[in-house]
Amino acid sequence: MQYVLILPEILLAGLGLVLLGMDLFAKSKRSLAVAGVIGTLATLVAVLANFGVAPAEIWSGTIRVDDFAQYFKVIFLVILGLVFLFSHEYLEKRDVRMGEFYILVTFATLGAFLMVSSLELITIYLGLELMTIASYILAGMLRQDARSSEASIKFFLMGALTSGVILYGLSLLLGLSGSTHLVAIAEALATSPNTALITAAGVFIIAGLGFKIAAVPFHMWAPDTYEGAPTPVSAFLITASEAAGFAVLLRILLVGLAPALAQWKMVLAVIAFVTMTFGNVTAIVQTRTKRMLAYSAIAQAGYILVGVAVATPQSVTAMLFYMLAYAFMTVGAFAVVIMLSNHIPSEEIEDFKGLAQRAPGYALAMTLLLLSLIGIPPTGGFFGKLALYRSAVEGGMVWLALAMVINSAISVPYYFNVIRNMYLAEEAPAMELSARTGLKLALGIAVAATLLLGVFPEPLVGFLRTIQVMP
Amino acid sequence: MLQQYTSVGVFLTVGALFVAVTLLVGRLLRPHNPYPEKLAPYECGEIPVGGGQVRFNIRYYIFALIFVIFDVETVFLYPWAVVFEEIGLFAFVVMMLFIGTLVEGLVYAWKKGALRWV
Repeated sequence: MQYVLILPEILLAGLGLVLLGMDLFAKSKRSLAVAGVIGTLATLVAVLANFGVAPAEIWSGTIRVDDFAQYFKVIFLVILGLVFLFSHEYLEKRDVRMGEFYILVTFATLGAFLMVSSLELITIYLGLELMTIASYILAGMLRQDARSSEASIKFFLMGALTSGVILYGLSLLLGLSGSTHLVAIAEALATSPNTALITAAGVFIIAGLGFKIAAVPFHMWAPDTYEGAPTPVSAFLITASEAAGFAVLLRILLVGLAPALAQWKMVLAVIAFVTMTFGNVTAIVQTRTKRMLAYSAIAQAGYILVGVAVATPQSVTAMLFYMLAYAFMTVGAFAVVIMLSNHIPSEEIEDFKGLAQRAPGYALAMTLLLLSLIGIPPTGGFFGKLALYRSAVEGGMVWLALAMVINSAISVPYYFNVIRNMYLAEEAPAMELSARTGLKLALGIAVAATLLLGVFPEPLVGFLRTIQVMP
Repeated sequence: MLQQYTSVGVFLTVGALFVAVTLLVGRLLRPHNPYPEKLAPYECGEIPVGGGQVRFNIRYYIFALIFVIFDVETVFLYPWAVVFEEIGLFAFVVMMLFIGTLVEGLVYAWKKGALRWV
């Protein structure tokens, strides 16, 4: 029985090992991407089969299987599958070692799996390290490009530091409670007189995870890393890595630190406010596509943090919804960026000039995804933001909800700058724009899902209401 | 609260004193007769060549990394061997999976030329 519960992890680890073997013997690296997609689908089936299973903890509580974990695994697999689909041509053109890329991105996802499917601090930390160490290498895979190396080294230095900070916070929790299991920690903290130490543990953990989700003021590594890393890796980091950080933040705050949660709500609300405002204002002045999307990702992390700060069941539901929509719209937007950078390597926003004439389909898809990122109906981004906004109002943080609305308005110029370039700018030199089937498929899936989440959100929201963070 | 640390304080003091006293007593009692052979570093009977603080070639690190993996494997193999008879077939399968994973990694490193001295 317990092997059925961790079948997704087994399959994903198996996929990584198969890819490792295929990298040695397969003649065409394209078969690795195909195998990756098949493995991702198989894992997805295993995850979906585990939905609705009664929450269970196996192996002395080191692995916990519940719907919260399964849902995040679905998000990771969506991202992994799309990355497998759209990366090939980009990696080929930039002369990246494809085998290593596919293997590492699979193991990074396995790390994210471990992070979400445990209430036990050591397993969570192990998953975090597996994910981030694979990510450090992924960020530096453009070996001829100095900026990619810079991205990797900055990411590594900050990541190593923050892993230490998180570990220190976790060790304080262990010292205070004598347990590494979040439920036991919550019980011990509820009666503990050491409020100062509990606060210290909270500071370390929130600051450390704040680095991982690139919340202001812990964001300084993010723009350089997201800009310098290979574009498929940026897409993976901005979505999967961030979602995993949020999942752990939710688990630790709402389960382990639940007795002390009240004192953190205002801190988190201020961080959320500063993060979204900083991200949006800085994104306006960017001229490079990936850097603009990097600051946009910081702003989006601010929106999602609103859900953590409000910390009600409604806000958690809204967060979960928004993170899935966010994965689709961001990865989709990156698919268009990758398509364009396969032809024009400069990756400036100006490259979008005249895209509506050259490739109307891509321009329309990009427009829809950007509308979703702003939060305009009928898209998943709109509905997710609306749900976050409502949960903030109902949770008594009206000012934060107002800040979200104002920030959405601030974000309009830079997203529309891309749309303006695509539709209104004078025509750029004509150029054949093409993409392989995988990229088209990934973009199609992302756009369809973004629209579907916006038009028919009810079934998913109804399901998400049943998800419990707490055991 | 603080009294709980008394024993730690006593332990630290006694530890520090013990080192100081033994070194002092040894210095007073022992004969003092240094000569070159006695001062040379001992390395399994080999005659040392050159200084100890030389630059190591960076290429050693990849060998060291692969070595560490199999070092850790040995650590896992010892307790496994001790309880092997009690757990039986299950232990065998699990360990074969573990070793198989490591072997695949070794084959990968080998095939990719990580073990070649260029």
